[in-house]
Amino acid sequence: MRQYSIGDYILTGITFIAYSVPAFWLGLMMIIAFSVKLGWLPTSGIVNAELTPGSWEAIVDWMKHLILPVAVLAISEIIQVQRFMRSSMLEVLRQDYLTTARAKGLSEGVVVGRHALKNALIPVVTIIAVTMPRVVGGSTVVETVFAYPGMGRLLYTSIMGNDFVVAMTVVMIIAITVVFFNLLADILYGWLDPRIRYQS
Amino acid sequence: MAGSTPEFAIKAEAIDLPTAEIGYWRVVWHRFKRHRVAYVGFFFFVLLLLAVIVGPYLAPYELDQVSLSERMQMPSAKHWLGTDELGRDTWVRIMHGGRVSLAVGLTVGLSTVLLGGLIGIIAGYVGGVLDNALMRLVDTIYTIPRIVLLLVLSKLAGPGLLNIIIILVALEWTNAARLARSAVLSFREQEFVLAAQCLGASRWRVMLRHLLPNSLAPLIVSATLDAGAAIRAETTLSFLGLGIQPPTPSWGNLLTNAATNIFIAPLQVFLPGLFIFFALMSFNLLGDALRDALDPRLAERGGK
Repeated sequence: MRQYSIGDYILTGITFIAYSVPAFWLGLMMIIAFSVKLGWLPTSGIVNAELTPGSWEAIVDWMKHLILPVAVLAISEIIQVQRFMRSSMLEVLRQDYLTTARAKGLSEGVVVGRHALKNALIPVVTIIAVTMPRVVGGSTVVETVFAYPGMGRLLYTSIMGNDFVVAMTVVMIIAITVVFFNLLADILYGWLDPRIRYQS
Repeated sequence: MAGSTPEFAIKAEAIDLPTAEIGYWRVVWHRFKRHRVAYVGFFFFVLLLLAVIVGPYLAPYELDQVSLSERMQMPSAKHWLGTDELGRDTWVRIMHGGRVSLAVGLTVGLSTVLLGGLIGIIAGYVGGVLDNALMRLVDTIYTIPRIVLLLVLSKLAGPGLLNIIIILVALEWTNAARLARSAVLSFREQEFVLAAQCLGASRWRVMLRHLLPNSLAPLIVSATLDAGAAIRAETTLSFLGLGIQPPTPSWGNLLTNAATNIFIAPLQVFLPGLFIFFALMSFNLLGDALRDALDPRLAERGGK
């Protein structure tokens, strides 16, 4: 994603369209495509109850159940990262130090890959840090679509059942992941941009 | 010339002001028109609006006209988009659902901007303790995961169109408030505000007559994007069974309803979502185009 090239237009167009797709619908469409029509993957749940727990088949089956929910969550995540990565990259590419890097005779790959990418990653790290807890806490909607018994669905069922103690615990765990990923992001900033120092 | 400078200056201002105002909006309109993306968004939006208003009357079926002999049909000349598990016409149901979903989106988009904009302007202009209190409230709403708030509030408030709208407005005014506040903060110390104050304008007059029009640009963009977000939130809630309840169709609960028959009639799942997708896309496109058009920092550039 470097200029206003055709590739840029196509990629940005795709992410823009994908950005407007509601996650639950995307999940249902994937169920239709891969489970109903093609019959490759299971529609819902976490593992086939008929298989003996711990056996090789059960593990494979468990993985099969993971593919679709993970794909849906990953797609919505990728879209956000792409949007930020693009604008942050465009910003960085305009900077003077890239001209310097090119003037030193570095190849385009090194210039973009090392000098530009590392600096462009800073805002992206923020975005990932903000969105990761949502993935860890499980997207309530995606887990509901796939009837996947994760934390997101637990949150949903507990709120629906007036079981607020469970709901509060889930929120607590999400809060901890928020703090954890923010800490991680802060550490990463220091690695990406040595100018950022935390000592007073 | 030197002798007549004051008079000249006053005249110039008197002539310049109205044209400058028209000029800004004309430039905005001009940029908006040149934005090809805007056309697509606007086209879809108008098309959806028209379909939703006129749509139900085009097919000779009532909203809940059950026909058990025509259950779960594929699209045909008789039922354009097929029928659901009770033989109700999908086209009519989606159009009615669209009325609900679009109405929620537009109402929420408008009211968040009115409420949030006003709160933001007051917070930014008055400042002090009030500003602090309001902004901490905004922070609090931001901190708690959105889906948790949505679920808990709609569970507490109970289902219903009005409740959904109130909940969404209560959660989404924060965006507009932040935007309006930051705009006001940058204008507050400028000369035109001082001039208005010196002329004896009341607080409200300064806020509504001078600060509001100047912070309008980000608010308009925010309204468009909020409307999209509201439709997304409403359909999600309805999909989870907390939003609009089944006898009244909404794009979200049509989807849930169809999802139970996903093996028999996948098309019925596809269609409501497609309309949600078009609605979200048109709002997002419009929002993006408006942001580009309204941003005064983007100088007129050729071509791109």
